[in-house]
Parts: sequence; structure tokens; C-alpha cells
Amino acid sequence: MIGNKYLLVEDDEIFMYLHSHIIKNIDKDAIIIEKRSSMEALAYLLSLENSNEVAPNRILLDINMPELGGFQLLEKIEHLVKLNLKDALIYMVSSSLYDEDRQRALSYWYIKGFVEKPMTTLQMKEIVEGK
Amino acid sequence: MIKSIVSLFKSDLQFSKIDPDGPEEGILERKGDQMHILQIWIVLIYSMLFSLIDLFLGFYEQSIIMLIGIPGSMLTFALVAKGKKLISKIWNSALINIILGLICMYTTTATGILIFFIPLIIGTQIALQGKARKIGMFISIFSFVEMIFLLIGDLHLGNKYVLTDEQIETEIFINLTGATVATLIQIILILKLSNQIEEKLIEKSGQLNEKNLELQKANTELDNFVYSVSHDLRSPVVSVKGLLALVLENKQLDESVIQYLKMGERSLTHLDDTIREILEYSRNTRVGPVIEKFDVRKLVEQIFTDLKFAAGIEMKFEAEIVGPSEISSDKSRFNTVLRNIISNAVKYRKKDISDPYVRFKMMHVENKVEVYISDNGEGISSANMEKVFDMFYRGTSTGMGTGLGLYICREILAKIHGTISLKSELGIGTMVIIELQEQV
Repeated sequence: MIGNKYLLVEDDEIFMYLHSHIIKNIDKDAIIIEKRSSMEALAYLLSLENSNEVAPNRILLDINMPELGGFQLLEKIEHLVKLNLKDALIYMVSSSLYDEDRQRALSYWYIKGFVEKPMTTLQMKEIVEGK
Repeated sequence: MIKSIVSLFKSDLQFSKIDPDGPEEGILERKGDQMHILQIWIVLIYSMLFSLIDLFLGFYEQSIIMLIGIPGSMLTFALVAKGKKLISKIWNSALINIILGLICMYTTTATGILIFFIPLIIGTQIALQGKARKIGMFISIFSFVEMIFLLIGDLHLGNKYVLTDEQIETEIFINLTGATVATLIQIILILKLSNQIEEKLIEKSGQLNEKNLELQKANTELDNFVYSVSHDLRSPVVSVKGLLALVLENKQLDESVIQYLKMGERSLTHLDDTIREILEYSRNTRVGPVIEKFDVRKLVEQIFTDLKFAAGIEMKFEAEIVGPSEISSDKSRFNTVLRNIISNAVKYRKKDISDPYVRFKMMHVENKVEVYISDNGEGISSANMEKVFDMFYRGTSTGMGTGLGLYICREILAKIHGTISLKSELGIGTMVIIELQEQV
């Protein structure tokens, strides 16, 4: 099977469950790292810098989170994006209806796409396959 | 006579009262009224003063003529007190014309008496403002012609005075001083009044600016509030929708359970649409247009992709763009309109046909952009056609629509110089036509 390594950053329990469940349905050999807050995610990503751990190659980032939002988190790890995460496909995920959020996501060169919640199996398939 | 004196005091009160909160319109006329009162006072005082001076100098006829000014201006005051402003203004100008004319006929123009026509003409112009402007112009021209006649014509009444050089010098001095003072008083009052008006305007515009800033702040705060509320309202709806979709993927479900779940899903979609539309509506009314250049093809393809995922259905999407794909308008608003219309085509597709489609076509016509979005869906009956743009009007009872979509589209387009219209036939399909003025 496919066997990607996924990093899900999401503060909502149900979405976290939902997304990782859909991933497991599609990618049976998936490795899923779940981070329930952006601070946890930041700590994890920064720890990658000096370790031999394989970096995730799919990152799903929620835009609206307390403390650090998805965009602010990305700005803090921008230096990693060019090194450890150079093969990672980064997606912004949000239930935001504001077009500005989508436009902002698409304005970063290293963000692959913007996905509106709820994510469907069809959408997740494209992410898994890296289309 | 008593009446006149009473009215004189009344007029005095009117003169001293410059209403700072009066209506903005008719400022010129109010100024004219105030000037008018001042002019009556000048006539009255000059009449008394000059009849005394002429008496003292021994010009008895002139002294008597000047006395006309006293009852004359009393009459003017009485007219003002009765509220007959226009007549009193005309009478005042006429009175000065008569007195001045008569005086000139008893003396020689060498005394410089004609210089009094200058304050007379200025005063007439100031007092007769606005609607009475034409009358003022007429009287001014009449005064001017009268002055010319008095200067070149040989119009004399009674005995011709033979004045000594010394007397002429005295007369010139008196006339020049009198005319200068009268002109000066009028000009000073004009300046004073225009300063007051200017100060008031500055104060008003300051207040306006302050109000504007407050409003802007309130708008931004409200927009942030709507953003958070819509996000917090939508999150749980959307998460349940996602869970339901996940459950529905289970192939071993009972047929009736599938039905219940699908009904629940439809309800949630409806709620989600309503939240989305309320947000779009409130944003459209409060946020100003942001004009930028953008690629319509990319926009439409994104909408197609999103809708395909959301609806999870097979539907053919086609986009054809004639000419440049970039236009300049409000991207976010245009996006909302297209999304609404294309999602209508998806919502109201025919369920029993094998090839449901939505076609998007855009072309440039002169400085406008024309967009055609057509489908082979359910269509709209001609009876419903007129009402589809009304607020909360729903064409079907399937419970899929909120009755806001097309209404919002029309409202949004109105903000960005666009129009929307429909062609449709029940059971055949619908074509939505958008015309949009490009903005720079």
C-alpha cells in the first residue's frame, strides 16, 4: 500500500478522528502523527531538525487554532520547509468561509492547497496520492 | 407709528440673533435677511444724520428730503415685522433710490453725491439673494441707469444752488466719508457672517469625521465578530456532516438507516448553506469592494473542484473563455456569485439523466464582461421566474434552498457594477447571464 507519514495539526477532537480515520481507510500503511495544539506541533517539528527521524511527507494544518494559528505556525518553521520538510506536501484545512483565508493559503509557495472542512474521502484520496 | 417702533425693536432682536443651528440650506438667504436689517438701520441713521447736517449747512430742501427716510425706514421695519421680507427689501432699495435721486436733483454732482450709489448697489445685491436674485439684478441695473442719468442729464428741481469751492469740498468730504462708512459696514458684516459659516462647516466636518471613524471601527469589529461566529457555528455542523459521510461509507448499513442518515445530512447542508449565505450577505453590505486583477479560469476551476468534492457526484463541468482570462473586479465578490450560481446548477440537476452538466462561458464585449452559466437541470417555470431574485423566495419545496442565494448574487453584483438575469425553461435547463463592468 501507500505508507505515507502524516502530520495532522487540529484542535478539534472530532475532525482529528474523522481525518485520521479517512486516511486509514485509504492508506492502510499510514503513519499518523496527531498534534492537538499548534504548540505541540511546533515542538515536534523543531525536534526534527536535529534528529534522524523521518519527516512527515503530508501535513494537514488547521488555520484557526488558539495560541498559534496555522499560518503563524508555518512562518515559525519556514527554515525547516526548505530542509527537513522539502518533500512534504502542506495543506491548509479550515471551515472558514472567508475567501481571504483561501487566497492567503495559495499565496505561500510551499502550501500545496486549501481544503474546506469537512474533508471527504474523495478529497483525501488526492492528498494521499499527492495530486 | 407705535407699531413701527415696536417692530423696530423686534427687528433689532432679529438682527442680533444669528442662529447657529439653523438649517444649512438657505444660508445665503439668511445672510441676505441679516444684511437687510442692517441696511434699514443705515438708512434710518443716515436720514437723521444728514437731515441735521443739511439743516446746519443751510440746504433746507435736502434736509426735508432726508427726513423722508425716517418714516420710510419705519415702514420697512414694519414690513419685516409682518414677515413680508421680499417686499420690504424691494421697498428699501426703492426708498434709497428715491431719496438719492431727489437729493441729486437739488444739488450738483460735483459734490460726489453719486458715490452713494455704490453702497446702494452692493446692498441691493446682498439683500436680494436666492430666489429674489433677478429682482435684485433689476433694481441694481435701474440704480446704475439712474446714476448715469443724474450724471449726464440736466435734471434739476427748484433753485440751483451755487456752491462755493469751500462748500463743495465740505460736501465731498461728507459724502465720501458717509459712503465709505456705509460700504465698509456692509463688507465687514459679510466677512463676519462668512467666517461664522466657515467655522460652523469646519466644526460640522470635524464631527462628521469623528462619526465616520467610529462607524469604521464598529464595522471592523462587527466583521470580526461575524467571522468568529460563523466559524464557531459552522465547525460543529461541518464535523457532524463529515461523520455522517463516514458512516454512510459503510456498505453493510440497513437501507432505512441510510435514508435517515441522508435526511440528516441534507438538513445539515441546508443549515450550512444558511450560515454561509448570511455571512456573505452581511459581508457584502459592510465591506467595501477591493478591485484587483485575477484569473477567472482558475477561479471557476477551483469552484468546480470544491463542488465536485462537496456534492460527491459525477457532473460534467466545462469552462470556455473567449479572450483574456484575466479581469479586474472584486475577486472575492465575483467568486461568491459564481459559487452560488454553479452550486445551484449542481443542486437542481436532473437526478434521472446520465449526463448532467454545467457550462461556463465568458467573453469580453466592449468594456464589459459577459458570463453565461448554463445547465440541463430542472429549470424554472415562467411563473416563478420573476420571483427568484426576491429575498427568501424558494422555487422548490425540496428544502434544499434557503431563498437567499440569488438575492445575494444580485445585491453583490449591484455593488461591483454588475447585473444578473435568467433564461429558463421548466424541465429543459437554465441559463444565468451576468454582465459585469470591469473596474480599474
